[in-house]
Amino acid sequence: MLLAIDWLLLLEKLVLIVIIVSVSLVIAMYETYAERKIAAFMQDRRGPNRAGPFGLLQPLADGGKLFFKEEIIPNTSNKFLFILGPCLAMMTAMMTSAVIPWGGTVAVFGRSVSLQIADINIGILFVFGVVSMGVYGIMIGGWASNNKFSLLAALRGASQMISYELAMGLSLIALLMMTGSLRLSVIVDQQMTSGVWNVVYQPLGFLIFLVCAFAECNRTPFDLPEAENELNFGYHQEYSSMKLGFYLFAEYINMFISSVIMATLYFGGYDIPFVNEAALIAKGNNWIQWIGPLVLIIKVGFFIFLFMWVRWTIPRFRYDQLMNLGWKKLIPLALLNMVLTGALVLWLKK
Amino acid sequence: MNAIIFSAIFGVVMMFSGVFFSSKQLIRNLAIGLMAALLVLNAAELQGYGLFDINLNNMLHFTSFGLVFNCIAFAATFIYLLLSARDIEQVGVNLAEYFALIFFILCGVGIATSFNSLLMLFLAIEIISIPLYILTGSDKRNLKSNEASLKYFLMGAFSTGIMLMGIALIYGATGTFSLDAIATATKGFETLLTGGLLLLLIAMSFKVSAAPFHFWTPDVYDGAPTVFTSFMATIVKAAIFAAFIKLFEKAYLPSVASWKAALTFIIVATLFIGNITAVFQQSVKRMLAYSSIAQAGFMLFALFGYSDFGKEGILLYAAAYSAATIGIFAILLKMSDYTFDGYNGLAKREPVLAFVNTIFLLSLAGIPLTAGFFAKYYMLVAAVKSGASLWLVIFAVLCAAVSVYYYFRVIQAMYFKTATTEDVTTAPVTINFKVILIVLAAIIVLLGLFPHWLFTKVYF
Amino acid sequence: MNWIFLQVKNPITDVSSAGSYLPIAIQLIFAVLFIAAMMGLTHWLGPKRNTADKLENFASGIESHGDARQPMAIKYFLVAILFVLFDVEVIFFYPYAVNFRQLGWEGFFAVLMFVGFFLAGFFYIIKKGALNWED
Repeated sequence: MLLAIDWLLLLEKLVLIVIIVSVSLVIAMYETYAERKIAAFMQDRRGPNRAGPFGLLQPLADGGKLFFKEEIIPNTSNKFLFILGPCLAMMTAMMTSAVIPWGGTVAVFGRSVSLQIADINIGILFVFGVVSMGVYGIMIGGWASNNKFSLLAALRGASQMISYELAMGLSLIALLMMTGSLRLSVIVDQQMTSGVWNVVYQPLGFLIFLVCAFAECNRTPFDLPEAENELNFGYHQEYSSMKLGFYLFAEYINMFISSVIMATLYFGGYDIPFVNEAALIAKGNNWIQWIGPLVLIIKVGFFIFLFMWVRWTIPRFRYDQLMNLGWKKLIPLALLNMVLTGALVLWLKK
Repeated sequence: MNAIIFSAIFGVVMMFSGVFFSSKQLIRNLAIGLMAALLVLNAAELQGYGLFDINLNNMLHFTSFGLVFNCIAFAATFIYLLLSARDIEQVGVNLAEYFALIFFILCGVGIATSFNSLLMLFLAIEIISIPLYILTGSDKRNLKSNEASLKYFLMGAFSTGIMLMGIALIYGATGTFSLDAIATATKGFETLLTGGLLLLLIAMSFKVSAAPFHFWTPDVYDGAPTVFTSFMATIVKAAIFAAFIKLFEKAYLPSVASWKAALTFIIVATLFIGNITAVFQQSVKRMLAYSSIAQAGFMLFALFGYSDFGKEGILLYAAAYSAATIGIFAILLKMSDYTFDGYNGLAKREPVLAFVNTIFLLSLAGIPLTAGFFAKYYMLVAAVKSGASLWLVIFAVLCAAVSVYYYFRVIQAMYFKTATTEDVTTAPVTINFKVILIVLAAIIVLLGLFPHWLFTKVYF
Repeated sequence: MNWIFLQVKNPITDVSSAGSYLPIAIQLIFAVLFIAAMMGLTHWLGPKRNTADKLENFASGIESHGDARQPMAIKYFLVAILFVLFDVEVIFFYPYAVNFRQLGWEGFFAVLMFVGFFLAGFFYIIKKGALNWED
């Protein structure tokens, strides 16, 4: 009976998972490099330049260093939760990539392999579900540290993330009304066939989503959980060694993943602009499928650059401003966007 | 349908009235006006002028019994608001919200009298209960109120859990939530069905505070702000009885004979515990809490002897009991001292209040010429007609005799004792307050003389 | 042994079967193993020289007074409760959004009513000052 399982398919998925997780880890590492380089560029400095050519090996050195640091668990903390916090944060960061379509179907060793790990029919809901688990990592870590700074930061982080999750969920509804499906592969397919990216129909929705993505990732101007000048180091104040590394990694992976989600939902995913892939594939040019993921990475690179650009440009919000923006501006705006979209689509359909 | 939809809308209106208006007078009058409107709208549906025609998939079923019951509940609430709206102001700052919660509870009452599906029953009970938890704890600075609220919430949540488990078992046995389908379901999962019905019986007994599931009642009634105790002990309790009787009439009917034993036990325990414990109370408020348990014992007879007679009886009982208890609580609210001694010499100070209070107490005790007498009479006749053992009826009459003792203690204090200390006082009452109380007493006496006019609508 | 994902011919690629979640389970296992390995590795590699001072809570160098197990501002709690309320309402929009075209204008007006309820609650909490952070 067990033989009925397509073992090759499972193997293929396993390889894909290992590749995608590794790629996202490497990208997360090089995001730290990019952040420092971009900061340096904007502030007219050089940035890291000692380890390897242009300092390219710097992230490896940083990562390697984390392994050899002493683990400190404060004696007033809750040991189990203290360890669980960063693990949860890292796990949620690693799980989101499962439903993202990284590309079409490519041929490897005579097999046609889909570049999506799991093509489930509630794709985007899965992403939301996993992302909202991320708040536990912060909350548990901050609370278990038993440090007032950590607790405050965790509280701030948790209420910020849940507040912006509302607006994020609402802004997405307008998009889903147009696509009629929660499957990410279908959403990308629609954009590829029509040739028009969703951002053209949903500029306001995209803007709200972008702002919320910044807040969900705790990036400037919404980086209150890590506001150094009031909270020392934020919710991971008591952490050291790889546990600290997990929090930092999770944050950069989240940034990467939310860039991917934005690119997928609003910018056509792995769609190559101005190229009709379907026609080319019909002529037998299957190599075009290998270009798709690269295009996606380029789009993602742009968003990551945007994250960093904003970080070194816009100052931090005050907490009440942050909450007011989330609740009193973005939520009504997203609702309005939803109702307008619905009315317009129905009206044009007639 | 009118009642359910409009009470929900009026609740929202009341909620927002607190945001827009700052005048307490205005909010109070708005609440009373909306309550009158709700009463009229419900009466209109009873006359055949339903404003909504919604396909409910038979989840709700509006019968004249339910609508008449709504009328009684809404009229009682209307009188309650007229008498006690000023006292609601004393509880806390969120005046508009208190009224809003009362309207939401009435929405639950509307569903409880018309449900035709166990899901709707669950919804009704929850819509009634959740605002009550809040109202119980609305005196935020008072530890007793907080304790009562928390206790009520925990116990209520527990019993709701039991209820849901019961519903789940019934669904497992019959494959449906619909009461009609449950009544005619093909048997085959007897154990499952019996277990479900038993859990449901326990949960409902808890909600109507029948013994042995009554433990929360005295503490909650005692701890809650008195003005809300009045509402909880009357309208809410009667509404849950209406739901209970409907449930019994449908779901328990096929196996009603086998439930008689359980019901007999509950009735005997409720009557005994309620009446005997009430005798030993020193505080009138607490005495009324136990008396409400005792009265619940009588109302349970409607289930026992389920028939048209029982149905009429429960209507009359709900009306008589609600009217009398609301009146007693309205007067209790004016007292500075809630013990029996607080009533000393009331007849000298406030002869009108003492007189109407006497009528209310006589009605609760079931003395002839008051509504309470016929209410108890109908219940016992229904029980006898359904073939109840005679000893149960005799036991009930004996318990009613015991109840006379503690009700008459209040009357004795009012008329035959003099206030010993100077600080036993009564808050000043307006002439309107007295007029309304007299009207209420008149209703009770009229119902005691002509109980039939309450039922005319049920059959036509 | 009748596994759910064996019942369909190619379960992992069929979106409507539970088998399509199997790769997610694999990824979860992979993530857990990865994290466990990393935690174990750092625990093994890092030095262990604990001193009493090191294990104290960090409070910018000054001696820390008390711990963080004390009541926190009620506002955070309020935000959390309101989030639960509104998030449930938001989730109700999702099934509508997916079936939006089939439901047409009738469904649209029904949802407008729901949006009305949403806004009523929203307006109420704002007017009541539940979201005011600057006391």
